[in-house]
Amino acid sequence: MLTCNQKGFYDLNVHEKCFQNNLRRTLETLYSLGYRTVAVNQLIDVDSIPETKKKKKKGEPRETLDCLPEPFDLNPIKETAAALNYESLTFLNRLTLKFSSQDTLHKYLKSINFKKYDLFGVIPVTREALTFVCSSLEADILSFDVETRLNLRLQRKLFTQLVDRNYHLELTYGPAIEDSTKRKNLINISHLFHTYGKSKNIIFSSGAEFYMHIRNPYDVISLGFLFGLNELQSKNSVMNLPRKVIVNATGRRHGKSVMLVENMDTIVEESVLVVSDEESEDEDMDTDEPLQKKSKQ
Amino acid sequence: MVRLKNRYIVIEVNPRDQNETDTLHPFKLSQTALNQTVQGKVDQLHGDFGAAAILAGFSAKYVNPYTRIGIIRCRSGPHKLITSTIPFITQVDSCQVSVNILYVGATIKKCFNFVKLHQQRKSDEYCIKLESDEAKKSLKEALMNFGSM
Repeated sequence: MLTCNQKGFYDLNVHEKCFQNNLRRTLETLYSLGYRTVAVNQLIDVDSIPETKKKKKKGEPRETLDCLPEPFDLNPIKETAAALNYESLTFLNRLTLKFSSQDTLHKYLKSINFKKYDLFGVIPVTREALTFVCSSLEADILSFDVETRLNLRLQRKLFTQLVDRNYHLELTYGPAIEDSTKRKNLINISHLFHTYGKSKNIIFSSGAEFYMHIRNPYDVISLGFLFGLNELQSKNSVMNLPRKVIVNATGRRHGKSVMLVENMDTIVEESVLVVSDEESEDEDMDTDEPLQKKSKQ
Repeated sequence: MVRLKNRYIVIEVNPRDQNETDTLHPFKLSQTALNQTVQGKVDQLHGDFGAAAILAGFSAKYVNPYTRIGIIRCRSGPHKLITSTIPFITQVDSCQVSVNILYVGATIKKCFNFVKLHQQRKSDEYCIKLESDEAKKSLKEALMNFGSM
């Protein structure tokens, strides 16, 4: 299942709008700049969704209505990539939840669609939410909203906790290109990471809502200087660490798994290897999974 | 255990339009104005990067209107951005001023000791001009008041 290629760069946060409006241009940009693994991000603000849904649920408890939308359909992207003759491109689905308290989050984590996403990112808005993320929530990426100034107090302890639990902290350079306050907030956050945790486990991603905001990975590496990272760290944050994120995410989705064995023959037939290809095969995968993986409890 | 390092910058804010004779008049400044001026100047000279870099742990306090002493606290590292811009501050809250850096310290205690010494020296200087003991006493009290520090 995890067939992401070793070479090439990673962009783990490209907004779905990019692929809705300018699919071809976005793909061209990403491929020509050297990105080979791209995650399509869907951002959901938990608090902005009105509670009418809840009331409905109380009135008539139906489970057919899922609170999470279906993952973004990757097939058109893959088809376009195949048509453009782009090889070894990998696409992933990423879900990002922005939330202020853990109570509202529960139903999202239990939803059926949740398991269909490959990566899971969180944006805590309040302090409680941050401590919840640090202590018990299982996710891959911790991101911050750069539109508002950070009102959370990071602590070294929380930070080391996060790093120990294989979280990665995301810095999105896309919004920072547009606007001065966003830029200031982003630099501020990155400096806080620098002071509290020596800039460990930081990944760069574009967070672009428009293909013009995607930048050359080598430029992103040099951008690391602004964020208080040294050259090696910033190189890792577009190459090795995002790979680690994907590996960890696969581990998280399968519970405590040590290794994953799969039949390569079926996959080799497909020209574009896609991690999230099992939307349709999901059920089959689940049934024979216990045989295939060695689990350590 | 690693600790956060701060730097405390002791500054002196001199109003430009006052002449030497009435140095004793208190020169009042609001803290928010001082805060905004320093941040705005850093933004002007060092851009978004500088403004963002000093944001963490930044606070500016105006301690004593008689000796015009203020203290800026910031993180060690970005304090260089602040010390490099302070000479360019010419205006605080529509008052023409010039700002001197008196001391840069790593602990508030060191700064306190320095300010104490500085105030004493100042008060001695002023006391020569005064005649009555009462005036001297009240002056001393006013000068040594740095409770807000």
